[in-house]
This record gives sequence, structure tokens and C-alpha cells, in this order.
Amino acid sequence: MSHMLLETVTIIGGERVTDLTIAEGLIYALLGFIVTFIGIVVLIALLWAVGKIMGAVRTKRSEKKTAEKAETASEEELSPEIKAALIAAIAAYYEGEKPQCEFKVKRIKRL
Amino acid sequence: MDKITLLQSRRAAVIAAGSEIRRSVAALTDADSFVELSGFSYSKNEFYDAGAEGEGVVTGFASMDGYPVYIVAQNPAVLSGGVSRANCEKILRCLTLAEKNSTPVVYILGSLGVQIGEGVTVLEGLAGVLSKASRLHGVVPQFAVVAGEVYGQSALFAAAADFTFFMKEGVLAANSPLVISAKSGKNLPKEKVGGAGALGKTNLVSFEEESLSAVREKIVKIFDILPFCNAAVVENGADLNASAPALNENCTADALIDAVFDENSYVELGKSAPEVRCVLGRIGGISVAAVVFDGAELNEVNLAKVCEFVEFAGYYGLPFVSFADTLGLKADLCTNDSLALKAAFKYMEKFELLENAKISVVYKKAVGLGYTLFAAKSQGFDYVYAFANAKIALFDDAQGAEIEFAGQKADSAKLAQKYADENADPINAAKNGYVDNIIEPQFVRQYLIASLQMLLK
Repeated sequence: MSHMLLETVTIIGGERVTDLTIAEGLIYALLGFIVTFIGIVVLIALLWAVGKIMGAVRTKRSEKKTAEKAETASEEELSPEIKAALIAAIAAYYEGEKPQCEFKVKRIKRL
Repeated sequence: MDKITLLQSRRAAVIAAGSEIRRSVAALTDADSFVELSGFSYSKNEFYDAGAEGEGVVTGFASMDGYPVYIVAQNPAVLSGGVSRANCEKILRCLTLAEKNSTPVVYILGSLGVQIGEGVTVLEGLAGVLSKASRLHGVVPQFAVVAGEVYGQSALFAAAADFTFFMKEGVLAANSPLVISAKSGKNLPKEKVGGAGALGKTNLVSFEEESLSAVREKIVKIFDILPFCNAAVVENGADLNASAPALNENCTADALIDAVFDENSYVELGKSAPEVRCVLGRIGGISVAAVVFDGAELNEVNLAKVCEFVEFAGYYGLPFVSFADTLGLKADLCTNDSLALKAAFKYMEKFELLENAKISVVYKKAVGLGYTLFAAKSQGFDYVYAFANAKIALFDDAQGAEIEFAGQKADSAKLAQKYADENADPINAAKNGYVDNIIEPQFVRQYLIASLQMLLK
């Protein structure tokens, strides 16, 4: 095992090149991993922070809008037409839930 | 000019003699539409030694809400509406025209009998006019209004009519109520002998009305419904797909009639046998004659009522719908010793002659003879529907349990329920093809309209 930790030398084109030891390789790899993970964590944190900020802004805006709408509704009563439309929409919704006859009767032509 | 004056004075005398009956005619018909026939036809009455202007009857033609009608109005103001030969000839001429023109006839009845001085001659007159009325039966609709006292053979006009209206003061009797009362060993007022309430088993009382305008309204409604006068199918704005969810919860005869027929488009007729309801109306704009049984046990009276109604449906080409909630013949001595079986067979004969659609809806129960006559496919019904909660069986629950579970010691109600569960489910009949469809009660109207449209002739 000890020979694996030893420095090795390779001669390429007459030049002497020192190879990395396995230990050095492992250290570099570890450093690489750490840097990458730190980068990811930073990115996650950044995105989370942006999300939070955006959410807060949206909530504020919607609260403002709701408050404005509530003020408008309390100030102005719904018109009969809107009421009728709402009732019709609700009725139509529940109509869909009622059991229906298997067929629709239509006037037929006499032969 | 003298002739004109003479005519005017003669006419005034005739009108004066019949002012009351002319008011009745006017109340029934469209304003100023009445045209009198045989206006000067009257005979010298030797018995009373007096000329009776207008005789005891006024005849003519008029319109009712635009529908043409012939009118025969007995005039009680002249010789108590006493029937004479000339009187009968006058009616006969009117009825002959009604037959020729295929026009409905309205009789306003009020006569205490015949002018007895004429003897057998008046009987010949009556025979002629009554036979003409019988020939008109089924050819043109006839309506009789019992406006006052109607005694003797004039009562037969009410029997010949398809629809008889009784006014509050109307009394109808084949003999004088005094004679009937005395022969019965009782001292009864005339209303107890021949009033609408006293004729509950005769099938002679179609409607009881308070006023002539109500009579007019009903006659016009009948004209509106009958294909004889109006179209068999009309566009009356009725919703063809209207369902009635309430029927799923509780289906009474009233609720059923209300749900099935178009709004304000039906009349129920016949005061006798209220357990059998004869309804003339429109379903989805289609003219229909319907019998709605309301928990009936059959007997000669209710069978005769149905028989007459089915005959009417046949004459006027109406589709027939039976709504069954009926058992078989009532099991008692009175029914056994009656014309019930004859009436049942007569109904089958009349049913066979129906040429238009025949539909049965078993909405509660069809048991025994009730099933055979009013729901059986083999009887000739084109379509048979049963409500999901209806019962179709050979025996009624209790009777069936007694037979099927004889000797079993258990609560009779539980046994009856067991019998119903095992035998009366309409699915059994449906599996054998005797019931075309088992339906939700709330959709009965749609099924009927769809079927009637297809079967209509």
C-alpha cells in the first residue's frame, strides 16, 4: 500500500513530469466537492431568499387589492343583474349534479 | 209593413215566453252568436187548450269561444218544459243538422215530463229524438247541463251525453222524485232522490258547477283538448323535459296528475267512484285520455266508469294511458252478485277497439285482475312502465303471504313484507318482458311524451 503514496515521475519527450500522488488527488477531489456544494448551497439560499421576498411582495399587494375590493363591495350593493347571473351560475352548477333523465325529449316530425 | 210589425209582435211573444232560457243560452255561448232554429214551431196543445209559444224547447246554433255548437234548451217556463211531439220534432231537426255538420251538441235540460194529453204520440216523438241522440253518440261530442228539474224520459239526454254538468239546483230522475220517494217508503226531498250527490253510482254526473259561465269554461277546455275540435298535438309552451323530483319521495294520485299533465290543460270528469279518476288532458301538448287509479279495488261502478271513458277515447281517437294502483275485484258478496265481471269484459272489448297509443304506468301496484286489465302487456298495451318502487304481483301482499307462508308463525306484517320483497318487485315482470322499463318516478313525463310521440296516429 505504501508505494501508492510515493511520488512517481514520468518522462514525456525528455522532460520530467511529476505525477500527482493518490493522496493529492483525493484532496483535490474533496476540495472540488466542497466548492461545488458550497456553490449549490449559496444558490439555494439565494433562490429561497428571492422567493421569500417575492412572496412577501405579492401578499402585500393582494392584501391591498382585497382591502380595496372589500371597500368597493361594502360601498356599492351588487346590481340585480349580477345577482341573477350569480344565482344562475350556482343553479347551473348544481343542476349538473342532479340526476338527469337518460334522454331529452324533442318534438319529432310526423311521417 | 204590417207584416213586419206582425212578425215583430209574434217574435216578441216567442222571446218573452223563453226569456229565462235564452239568458241561459247566452251565458253558455259567445255574445250575440245564438241563431234560433224552428223559431215559430209550436203546436196547439189541446190538453191545456192553449198555444204554447216556442213549445218547451229552444233550439239553434251558436259558438263557444269560436267553436261551433248546436244548442237544445228545454224551457221550463212553457208548460214546465213538457215534452210534446212538436217539441221532439224541433229537437230532431237540430240534431239532424248537428250530425250533418259534425258539430257538438249542448243540451240544457229542464222538464217535468211529457205533455200527457198527446198520449202515445209523444212517446213516438221521444223515441225518434232519443234514437237520433244515440246515433250521435261517438260521432259528435254531446254535453248535457242539468239546469233544473229533469224528470222522465228527458233524463235520457243526460245518459246519452258524453259529459253531464249538474248545476246546484239540478235534479235528475227517471220518474217524479215524489213517486220514487213514495215507492221507496221514504219521504225524501227531491235533491236526495236526484241531486248530484244522490247519483253517486250512476256515472251520470261528470261535473258539478256553480254557474253557467263555469260550465262554458269547462266545455271550451274540453274542446281545446279534443282532437275532434282541435289538433292532436299543439304547441302550448309546455316543457317537454320537466322532471318532478317530488314524485321520487311521495307519489300520490294528485301529485302524479299535477306532474304529468301540462299546466291548466286537463279536466277530471266523473263524480262517481272517486278511486278511479278519469282525466282528459294534454301531456306535452298531446291529447290524452288517462285513468288514474287511486288504490282501487274493482267493482261494477268503477269498472263501468273506466269502460265508458275508454269507449269515449276510442270514439275520438285519443291515446289511452293507465296509471295503475289497483287490486283485483273486491272480494265481497255485493261485488260477486253484480255486473262487475260483465263490466270488466265490456272494458276489454272497448280497449280492443282503441286504435291509438295504449300505455300503462304502474305507479304503485298492479295486482291480480288489476294487472290483467290495466297493465298487462298481453292485454294490448304498447308500452308498460313501472316505477322503481311499484309492486306487480299475482296477490296483494297480505293475501300472498297467507298463501305462500301458510303455517309460518311470524308477524303477519313481516310475512307480507317478505312476500312483497320476494314476489312483487317489478324487475320480475321486466325480466320476462312484461314491463318495458322500470323508471324513476320523477322522469315519468319524459317517458310518456317520448312514447306518445312515437305511437301517435
